Amino acid sequence: MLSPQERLILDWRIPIFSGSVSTQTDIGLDFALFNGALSGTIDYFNKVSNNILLEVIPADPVQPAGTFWTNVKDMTITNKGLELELNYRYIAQKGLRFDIGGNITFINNVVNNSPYSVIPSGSASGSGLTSATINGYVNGQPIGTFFLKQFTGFDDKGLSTYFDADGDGLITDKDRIAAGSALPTKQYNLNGSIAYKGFDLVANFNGVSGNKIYDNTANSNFYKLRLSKGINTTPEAIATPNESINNAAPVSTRYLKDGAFFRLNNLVLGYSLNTKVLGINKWISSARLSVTGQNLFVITKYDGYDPEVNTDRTINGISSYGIDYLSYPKAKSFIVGLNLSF
Amino acid sequence: MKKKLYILLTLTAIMVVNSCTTLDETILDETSATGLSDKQAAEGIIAPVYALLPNIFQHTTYFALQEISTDEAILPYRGGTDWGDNGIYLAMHQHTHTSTDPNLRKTLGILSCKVCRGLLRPLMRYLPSMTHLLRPTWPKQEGCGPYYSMLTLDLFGLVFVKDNLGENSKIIRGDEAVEYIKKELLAIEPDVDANVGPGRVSKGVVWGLLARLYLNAAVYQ
Repeated sequence: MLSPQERLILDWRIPIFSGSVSTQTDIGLDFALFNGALSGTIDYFNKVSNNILLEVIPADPVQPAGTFWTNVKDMTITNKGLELELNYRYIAQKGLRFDIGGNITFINNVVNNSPYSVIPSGSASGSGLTSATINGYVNGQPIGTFFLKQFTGFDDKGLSTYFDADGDGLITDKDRIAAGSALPTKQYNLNGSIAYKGFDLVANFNGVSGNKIYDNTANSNFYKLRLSKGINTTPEAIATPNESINNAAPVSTRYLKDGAFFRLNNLVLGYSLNTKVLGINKWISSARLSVTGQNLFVITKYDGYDPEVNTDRTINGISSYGIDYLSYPKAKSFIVGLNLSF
Repeated sequence: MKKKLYILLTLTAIMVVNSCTTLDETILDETSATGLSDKQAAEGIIAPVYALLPNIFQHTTYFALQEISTDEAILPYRGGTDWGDNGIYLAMHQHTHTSTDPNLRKTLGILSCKVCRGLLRPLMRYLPSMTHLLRPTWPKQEGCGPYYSMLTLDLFGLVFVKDNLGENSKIIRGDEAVEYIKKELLAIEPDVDANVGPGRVSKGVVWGLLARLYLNAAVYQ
């Protein structure tokens, strides 16, 4: 026997949800040539997720609640790409040994058949930016797309101008465009090691390209008008002399930056002492001296602290991507080590 | 050895006896449908009609829409230290706002939600046995429906008509909307109490709403 409330709840027709459904195809090829000196893999992957679960505003606003969760039937998110890996190993008779390898992944992500013109995510942070959104899921674009007004410069009064995408003569939210994605189109790693006599050197590099980063830190802290309020800022704020001191800094492509980078992740230089020759092998069976450097350099055009960043600014369970807001820089570290075995 | 065993047994016995006390708990606050009388249950269903009423009139909802859009109030951009909100108040003042304006959406959201909760007539079919219990308060709740409809007409120029929860609302405007609200108000007018306290729909409220509707009818139509 149901109570009136329970019967009422049933009649609101709370639907039964299911998670998103994914179908995935992978084709791979592993190979080794020249007695295993050169080896590699080629992988193709294609993953299609549909029945996307979203919290949306009902089409008919007259509902007991403002938003509801639903599975969007035809909407799909396709993630496909190619992964290549190649390794080469060389061992000489005289004790020289080296290997070098790398992998690269090409990714193409796209949202299709979404019944919504834009599903916003990535709420901007900072004073003056309340309610602004940075990411938007739109048809034909990858997830993590930055959906922003396109900054075109300054007018004769020194105020920001934006591209009038819908051509109505006004700059509104309808002029937002898909301005690139936080998802890289390429990701790669390089690793190599070389050993000769007692010395060995190991290096690891990684990098991405084809992605953008939204510098929310700059957006909310490095703009000219802060000066007229007597608030401290950075040289970035006064970089453009013809910008008016009264110019507002809303969310736009002005603060969208290239997120490509190449980093030396890890470098180890070691020397193993020959304990037999030194005549100490009675007490010490092996000894190794090493120096490790982590995050030694990063080559990037991104002028925030670190291009490997993702501050979570999720809205209604819809993930945000590629937003940098007050994140800490990555530490550069050196480790000197001495390993002794007795 | 025997002594140890006795001590152990005694301790166990103490623990067992101690842990089995009868709990006579007085439940002070608990949400449970089973413990409610029919009248309480019915009133519980009606409560949401009024619940969000103050939220409509906050500075980021009704006030922003009605005042910022005119010269009665302005919220200039002052360096993003106060109420810049990515230019939404500038847009509201310049009348260049779009459907993405969060304040507009919030106001419509709360109102349409209220309209829905104001549509209590469909609930009657669940509560045939309770109708007599609700008689004193029922029409008052129904008064909220037309009131919220009047607000949507005033702010957005439309009224949502929905008689069954399962179906999509019909949108009416202008003359039709005015006639609809008038009909709804006149229908409940005889049943509404004259002497209820503030915050609830009384006969006077219905008359006041009707007067306001008649005075503005020319504009709405």
